[in-house]
Amino acid sequence: MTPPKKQLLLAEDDDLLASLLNFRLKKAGYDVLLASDGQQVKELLKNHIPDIIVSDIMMPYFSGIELIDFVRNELKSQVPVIIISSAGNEQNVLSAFELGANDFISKPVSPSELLVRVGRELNKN
Amino acid sequence: MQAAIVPRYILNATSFHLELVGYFTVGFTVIALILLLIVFLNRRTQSNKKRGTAARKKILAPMISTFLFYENEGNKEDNVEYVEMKIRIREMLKDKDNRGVLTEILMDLQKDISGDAQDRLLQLYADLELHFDAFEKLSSWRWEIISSGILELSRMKVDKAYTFIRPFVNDRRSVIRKQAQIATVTLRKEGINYFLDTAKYAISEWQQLKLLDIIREKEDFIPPSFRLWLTSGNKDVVLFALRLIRYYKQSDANNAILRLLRHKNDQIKLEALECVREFCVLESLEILKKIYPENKAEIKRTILDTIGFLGSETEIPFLEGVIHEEKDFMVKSKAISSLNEIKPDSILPEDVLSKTEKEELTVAPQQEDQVEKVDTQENEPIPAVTVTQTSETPSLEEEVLIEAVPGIPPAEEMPVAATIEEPASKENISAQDETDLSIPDELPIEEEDLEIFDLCLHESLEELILEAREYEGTLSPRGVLSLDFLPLVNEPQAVEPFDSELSEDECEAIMHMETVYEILEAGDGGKTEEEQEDVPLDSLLQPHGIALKAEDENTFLEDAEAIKGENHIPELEIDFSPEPAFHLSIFSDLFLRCDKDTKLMLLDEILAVGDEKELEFLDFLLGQEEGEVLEKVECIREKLGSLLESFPVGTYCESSEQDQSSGLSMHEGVRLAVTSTDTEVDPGHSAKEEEGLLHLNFEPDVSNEESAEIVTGSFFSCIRRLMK
Repeated sequence: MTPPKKQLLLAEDDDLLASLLNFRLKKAGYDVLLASDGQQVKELLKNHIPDIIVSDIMMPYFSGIELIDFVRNELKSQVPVIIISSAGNEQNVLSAFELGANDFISKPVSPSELLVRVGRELNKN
Repeated sequence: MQAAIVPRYILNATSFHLELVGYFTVGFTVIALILLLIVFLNRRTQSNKKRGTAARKKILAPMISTFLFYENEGNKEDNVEYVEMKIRIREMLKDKDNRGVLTEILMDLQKDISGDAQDRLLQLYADLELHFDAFEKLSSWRWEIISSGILELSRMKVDKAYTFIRPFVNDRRSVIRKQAQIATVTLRKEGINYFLDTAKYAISEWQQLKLLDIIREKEDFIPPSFRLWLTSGNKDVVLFALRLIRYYKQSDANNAILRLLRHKNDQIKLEALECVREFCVLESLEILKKIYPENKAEIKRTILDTIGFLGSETEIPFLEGVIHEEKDFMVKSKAISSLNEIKPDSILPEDVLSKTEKEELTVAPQQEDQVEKVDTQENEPIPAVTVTQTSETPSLEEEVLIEAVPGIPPAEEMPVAATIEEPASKENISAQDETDLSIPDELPIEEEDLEIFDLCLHESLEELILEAREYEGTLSPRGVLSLDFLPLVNEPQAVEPFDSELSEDECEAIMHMETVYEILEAGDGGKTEEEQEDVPLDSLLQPHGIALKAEDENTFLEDAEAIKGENHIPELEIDFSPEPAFHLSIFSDLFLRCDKDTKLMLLDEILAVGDEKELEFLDFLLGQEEGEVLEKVECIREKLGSLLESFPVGTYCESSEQDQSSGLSMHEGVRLAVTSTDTEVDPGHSAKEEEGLLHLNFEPDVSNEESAEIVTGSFFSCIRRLMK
């Protein structure tokens, strides 16, 4: 019997990148939930908390920083969160880490690197 | 009524064809409608196009993902799907719009992904032969299309496009030119060489930065020897080459750089000077000295800076010459700083000192390592610190003596050989100060100590004088001793002569005050300098206050014990005349200063917490206040009197333990006698109250300096408490 797929929430407002990463992550065996903005993420998280969250920092309605705050302080969840940030966004990355982000990956994103980081965070837990 | 006069020109005006107005109206309406229709159709087309593009993107994006992440090791189904998709995409690419959308997708993704996925994406772009569309763009007559074509080719790293793009490096249209320059440098490693060889137009700083960024991020990039372009006729190419030389630290270009120091362009000169500094080209020093006079001030400053950085003592005469001859302030300053850089402290600040300080400075004779004392200014018992600078070039006035005064860095911070002289001798102190302070030679009080002591003393005395004057003038003729006699250290002008009207007791007290200073001075008399240094500064700075309550008296007596036994300590007795008891009321001070409302409030408080002192204070107020306050005073007096009769309070000494915090243990007519005797005193009698006189005997087993501080600190503490 194959083990259940790990569920991953991918929050990315760039459709093309989201689609590409979604394809890669699905191919790697993850059950991917896609959200294109912060509100969608919030709705999804209220219903179900995935095994790991991969989120862009800059998103409409609800930024990645707010998302971490929401997960850690409102949902009281310790689900691993990996943030995707563009270069030159160090301050946001630091804020994210302060709020409880587990890891970060900078744009341009290497899908292979993302897979490695996701796997590592899941193994930690 | 007079009829209205109609102007003739109106009567003669040609008739207006109303039908024309109608035609024009219809015409303009039709035009407006046509325009609206065009705008509407255009917008609709655009939105349709956008929707179509979005739909195409939705179809193509997963296909691209499949192509990007396809692996041959997949199962059969995947392989079949891949082949089908390939056929499908080939069909789609026959449509130009689809090709455009696909190109757009790939270019967007190229920005967002890296690593092997990006390599695959670039390969996919090439495999789908989308670059041919970009080549077509290069032949367009519109600059924005050419530019986008170049951008696409350079982003998708189409190596073959290099030869097609090269001609645009010197295009007259700056956007195309800049895009082509970037593409040329991006696409091939030799692109930078071609660009530097052929660039005819100016290269902006921003463009230079971008190009540097590109070549810096290039993998396996071996920078060419950029000195080859130092001979270019394009000054921007030379500048860029110099910057690249500096960035890649190509020190093989020294000769060319030295030649460029004589370049007619100032920017190139400055950049060459930067290179000279960077590579420490010592051969440049002679050239710099030669070219110095023919340059502008900015270049001169940079040259002097470079000489200061690279130069040795052989450059000193040149710099001295510049200092003497140069008229430009900034250049002269740079020359001085360069001179100081080569030989530290060759020139020390002198002109910037204030006039007074200048007068105090005496230039030492031109002998090496000679230290001269500088007399302190009159009435200033500040120890003189003489700083002497050895000099090889007397013309520069290198020997400067600086007195350690506030505002001038301490001697140890000054980068010169400093010698701290002994404190100002007694002769240097004015006669008046001698009288007031009586600081003997053997008391080497540090300037800092004096200043701190001054501050403490000043603060205490000001408080006391203020209070004393007030009481003296308003409350009681003999209430509090006038303290104007107290000497103010370092401020002789503030020292007032003795009050001729002082009573005998007061005069005696004055004498005792002097004795306090004598203790201060004599305290260190028998000590060596080292011993004095052992005394912690804190003990000198913080006076040990005397508490007159039972508990605190012990502390005070410990201090007294500490002082006792020092045979030469003179007797101290400060005798205060009895003062009215209401002075001891905690309300008196505040009451006499506040407004009517506060007085009324205070009276309520007096009733709540008051005792006999307050009773006396109220008696006093009966003669002072008037109106509503007087009425209330009478009322409170009556109530408080009856209260105290019902609950009599014991003497203050008895209640002192309960009233420690409020300081109410001092009672009427306290006579404080701080006594230091030559003889042994019975500890049991070290503190006793006899007829209102508190005798305190000191038996010091601590250092004299500490003792003096204890006495002084305790004395002022006593006075403060008394005043409170």
